Amino acid sequence: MNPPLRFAKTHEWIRCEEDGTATVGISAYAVEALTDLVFMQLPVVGSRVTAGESFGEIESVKAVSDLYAPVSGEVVAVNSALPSSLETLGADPYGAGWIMRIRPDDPAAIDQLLDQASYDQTVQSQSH
Amino acid sequence: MAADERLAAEAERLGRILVRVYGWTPAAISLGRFQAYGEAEAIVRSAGLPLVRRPSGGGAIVHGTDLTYAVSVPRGFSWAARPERLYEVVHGAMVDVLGDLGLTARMHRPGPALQPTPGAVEAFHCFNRRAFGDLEVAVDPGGNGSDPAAGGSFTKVMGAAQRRLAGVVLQHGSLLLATPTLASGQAGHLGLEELIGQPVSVMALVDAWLQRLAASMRCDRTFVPGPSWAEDASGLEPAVARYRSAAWLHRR
Repeated sequence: MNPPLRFAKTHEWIRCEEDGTATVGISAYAVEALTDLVFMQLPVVGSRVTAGESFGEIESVKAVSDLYAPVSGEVVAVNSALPSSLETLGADPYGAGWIMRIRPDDPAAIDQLLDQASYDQTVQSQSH
Repeated sequence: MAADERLAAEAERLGRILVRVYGWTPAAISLGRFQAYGEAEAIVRSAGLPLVRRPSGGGAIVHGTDLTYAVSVPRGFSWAARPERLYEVVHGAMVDVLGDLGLTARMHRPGPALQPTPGAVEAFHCFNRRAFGDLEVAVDPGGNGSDPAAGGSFTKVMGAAQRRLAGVVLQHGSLLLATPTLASGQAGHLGLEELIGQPVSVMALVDAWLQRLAASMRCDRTFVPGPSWAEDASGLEPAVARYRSAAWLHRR
């Protein structure tokens, strides 16, 4: 069974992995809102990300959006195939469309993020 | 660009929608955030124009005969919830204004966004692309609404691109007041002056547009007179230096 996802209000998701790392991506809602994707800038492996601060950018036909780190940590892997196949983000945002893997400074911080139900409520309120 | 960045920060801090409108002297080319500098080099050299890079995305714009705007909307406003909402309300207000000038105007609504072949000179320029929210005006007197995808009789007069941050959305836009002729691939785009057959009163157009925009957004309008940009404005220097830096200009 897949571990549950947690979400930031800025629409990034994070999933704890068995090896102590955590995988980060952006939600299906965020991908759909962006429309046609054209460019993506990934973080550098080995760099640090800080909770709530931008770790990368993604450009669609009509908007450049910052990607925000859900929690602080060190980047241990990035999905380097993603920028050349951005359609993967739309096709499988929670699987093959993962963006980076980090080693969180404080894994407990992940539990403070929104669960699926709370995130769905957030999305609902933003849609009106 | 530094002034627009500050505008966005102020909008977020104040919780207010802020709008800045301006022209360009001298004329210049602005690149989208992720456009490759190498694509611009040859064009910039032949046109002899200075080059800046926007924080927003989209294609390159030759400024000098356009009206540029920056709208900053804090995330608490519903207009910032999705990209298309802000395009619709900002450009929808201009559709009405252009209608009052006798033009048949509409917002472009795809289909898939129309993109020229990457690598072609035409793909470099914003006004050679079509995507949701772009404002088009009928060229033929009948304004029969023929499909621009088929090379029909609508010409793009207003384009825009957003920068979406956690707390605020900044939308940059450009309205062609007259045909820009200073760079290749751009000469064919008619401005309002050519479409109407006479120069446009920019102040009257801006006033009418902002009046309609405020009404659409259900906001009161407050006008702050005077220039919105001063190179030596307090605290702006670091941002000015950043936007002037080779690192920013050559970031891609």
